[in-house]
Amino acid sequence: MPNVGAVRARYEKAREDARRQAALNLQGQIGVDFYLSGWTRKALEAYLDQWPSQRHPNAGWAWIEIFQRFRDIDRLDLVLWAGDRLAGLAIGTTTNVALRLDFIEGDFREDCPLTGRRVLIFLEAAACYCQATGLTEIRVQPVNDAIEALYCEVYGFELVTPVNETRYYRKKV
Amino acid sequence: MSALARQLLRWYRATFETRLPEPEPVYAPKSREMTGFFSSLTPDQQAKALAYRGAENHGDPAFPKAKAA
Repeated sequence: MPNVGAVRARYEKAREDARRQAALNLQGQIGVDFYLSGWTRKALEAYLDQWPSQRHPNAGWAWIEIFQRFRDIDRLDLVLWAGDRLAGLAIGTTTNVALRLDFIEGDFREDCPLTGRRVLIFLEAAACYCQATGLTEIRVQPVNDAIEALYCEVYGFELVTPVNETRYYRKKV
Repeated sequence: MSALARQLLRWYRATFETRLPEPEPVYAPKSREMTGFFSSLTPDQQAKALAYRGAENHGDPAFPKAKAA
């Protein structure tokens, strides 16, 4: 029976591998140097230095609180970097079969070199993490009209409407 | 006598015969090759994904927003 430390280490390795592999998979396609990390002290300092409290009206979440709340052993925390520039943040949590992306926010600055490709990078890391940990689908929740076309038409997700539960987008990986 | 023989047989099996494998963990997901997400898209979807420049943010609108400095 593996102990908690071994399980924690296994998930940490899966997170690291998924972040690294996602960057390797997409670097050539996107043509911009970027990398992914977890929520670290460097990420916290960049968040406080680079992202003001007033951001896009449909985002602007308190990410320090988000990362404090979503601390499950099998979470997937993603910090997207273009050099030293904080280009995006995301957090995913797991169910028995799926990784659910709960929050995604991109750099609000208009000259971000990864604008429009940040969700793709996060999905790449999410898929790698699912494959490394034996999960079989990615879910995106909550749904909203602004991103429906992106997920359903571009990325091939389907909208799921369970009885008495919140709707979500889903795709097998 | 037969009771003694049964005890000896049980001891022999427990000591020398092949042990049963450890039970499978209840939750033991199998990892797979990390082929990622982009490679699963069709060429048309890949082109659209790379050309996309629209909205990307999503999350619980009720979650606290960052406090003004």
